[in-house]
Amino acid sequence: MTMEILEAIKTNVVKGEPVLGLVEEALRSYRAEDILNQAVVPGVLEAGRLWEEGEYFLPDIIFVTDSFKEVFGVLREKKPKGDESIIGKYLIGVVQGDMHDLGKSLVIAILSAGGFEVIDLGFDVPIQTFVEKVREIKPDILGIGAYMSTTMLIIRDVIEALRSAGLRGGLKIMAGGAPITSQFAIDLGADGYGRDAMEALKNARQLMGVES
Amino acid sequence: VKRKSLLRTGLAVAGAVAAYKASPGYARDSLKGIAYAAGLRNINLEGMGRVTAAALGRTDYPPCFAQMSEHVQHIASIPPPEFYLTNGRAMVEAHKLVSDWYGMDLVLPYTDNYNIEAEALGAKLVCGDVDMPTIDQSQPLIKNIGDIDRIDIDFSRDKGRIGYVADGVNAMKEICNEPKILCFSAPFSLAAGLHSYPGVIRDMRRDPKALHELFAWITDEVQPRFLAAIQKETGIRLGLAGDAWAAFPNVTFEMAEEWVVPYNARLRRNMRKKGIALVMLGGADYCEERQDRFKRELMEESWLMQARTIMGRRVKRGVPLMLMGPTHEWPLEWLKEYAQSNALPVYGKMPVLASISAKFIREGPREAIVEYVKRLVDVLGREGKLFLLFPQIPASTPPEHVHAVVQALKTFGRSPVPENLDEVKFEMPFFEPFDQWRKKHW
Repeated sequence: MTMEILEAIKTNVVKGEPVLGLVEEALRSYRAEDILNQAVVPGVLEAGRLWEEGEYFLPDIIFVTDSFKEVFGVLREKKPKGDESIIGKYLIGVVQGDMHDLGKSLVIAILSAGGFEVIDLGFDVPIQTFVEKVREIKPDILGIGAYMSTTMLIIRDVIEALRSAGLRGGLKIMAGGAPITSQFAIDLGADGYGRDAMEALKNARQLMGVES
Repeated sequence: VKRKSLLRTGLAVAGAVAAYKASPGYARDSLKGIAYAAGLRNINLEGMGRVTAAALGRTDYPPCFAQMSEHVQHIASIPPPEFYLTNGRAMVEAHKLVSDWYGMDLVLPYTDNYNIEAEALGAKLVCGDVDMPTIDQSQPLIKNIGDIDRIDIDFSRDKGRIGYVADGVNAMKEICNEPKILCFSAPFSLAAGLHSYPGVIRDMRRDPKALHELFAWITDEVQPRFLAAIQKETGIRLGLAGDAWAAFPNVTFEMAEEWVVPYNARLRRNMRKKGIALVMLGGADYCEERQDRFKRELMEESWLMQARTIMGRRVKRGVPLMLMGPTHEWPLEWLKEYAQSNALPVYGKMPVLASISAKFIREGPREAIVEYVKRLVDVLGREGKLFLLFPQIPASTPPEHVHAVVQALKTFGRSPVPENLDEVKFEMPFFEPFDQWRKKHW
């Protein structure tokens, strides 16, 4: 077994091709964390670079996240507990009254590939649930999504509720979704923003003080 | 020059005759527009008249129109369930009022029309307290393509919002003096509504044969029956098929060639037999949100692809247009060069459909919006053939931003456009609050 198998995994992830068989083969010779860090994550990041350069379209990213999801669970299971490679805990949800899920799913896959432990609250999440889950899970970053111009102002209400509950200090908050802009996110009281999944990862890493 | 002018006028008259069949009011306005463009400048242009005159290259100022259902619902204070689900007539009436309040030239009374067929077939519609309904993409009606066998294609009035849509279409002529036009979902977008967008994308690789079966079923069975049902209720002869799911970067160019262009053409053929002409809009729209990813060649390729989605594979050139995305950041000179270098015989320079993005119109500031409209006129509007579309006006947009756009079009776009627009003084218009205005005018 050589490094070729890791290269093949990376190539398949970049192309969004099935990768489980290769990973199972690689597990005979490599540790799960090595496969993840040397093949799967670099593949996702390479796809991100192609997206940034305008070479990749959204379907390409869907295929890449599918490849990633196909093996991420398997590799995570096999990783030793208390792995130090986790950058931080990222809690994410779409605000109440908003049922859009696709953008969030892509963000979750990319954040997971980029080293975050992501906890998904789903969509149509009541303000109080955001507060309760932040209290319970104590994430490093809370990502709040809104995809309608009629629901985006609820992001401000969530941030206000967290402040009232004494949970805002120390918590980084990111806002995202089609109608949100960088300036608007700041106006709402967030610390960061992501126009798309790749930018969300880049900015989340920066908020955690990690070079992107 | 005289021959060209005669030909141009001949084409316009033929268009006006067709318009008369659809709506006498439209036709009357169109004829005014033709007369204005031909030199009768004491004519008072409005609505379709301004659009026609602009299309012919000689208007008083560039026309504008908006897709703005969320904003209309908010301004007119109609409860969302009534506006989006039950009262098609009230929805159209509110669009007409708000469009008139802003001084727009056409009324586009459309909400989430791309969900109607899927909902009537049984797809789960989710409705929040305030927002526009949407199809639940996480629980698609068609999980596997074989599911189409158990779907009952029935578009009778009591199914989903068929009655609501039919009432809205009928109200278009009565309230807006516009032709009855059904806005519905193009094949690709309906496939996304029924099978979910990720489901469609995944099946392009996983099982393209089955996916073609789904597209054929939509194009040959579902949509012809849907359009026939609405035609029976309203007498429509024209349909606008929206295709936002097929915009770039939601699809690749190869996907558009295989899954959008041929099925649009097939549906057009199917409906022509039933006396309904179709125009597909929004497919292959270049919606790049990020300036750092924006590419001129993709923008120009998307225009050609758009033209193909509307008219078929044989089309050789596109029309420069902006729809979604941060269009205020686009290099306008690129559009100008394209419009000039792709001039048509007889007609001349291509028309340009410019737009103001949803985020920009909401956030402003007003001065930046006015400056953008000035630049649009300066670069693209000097030879006429300029139209301005608001692809979406968000609910919370300050009305003064929208009023400022219309005023800026009137101020800077007034024909003949002055050499130096910096010397033209702009003053914000006075406008009455909507409720006060409504009491006076309705």
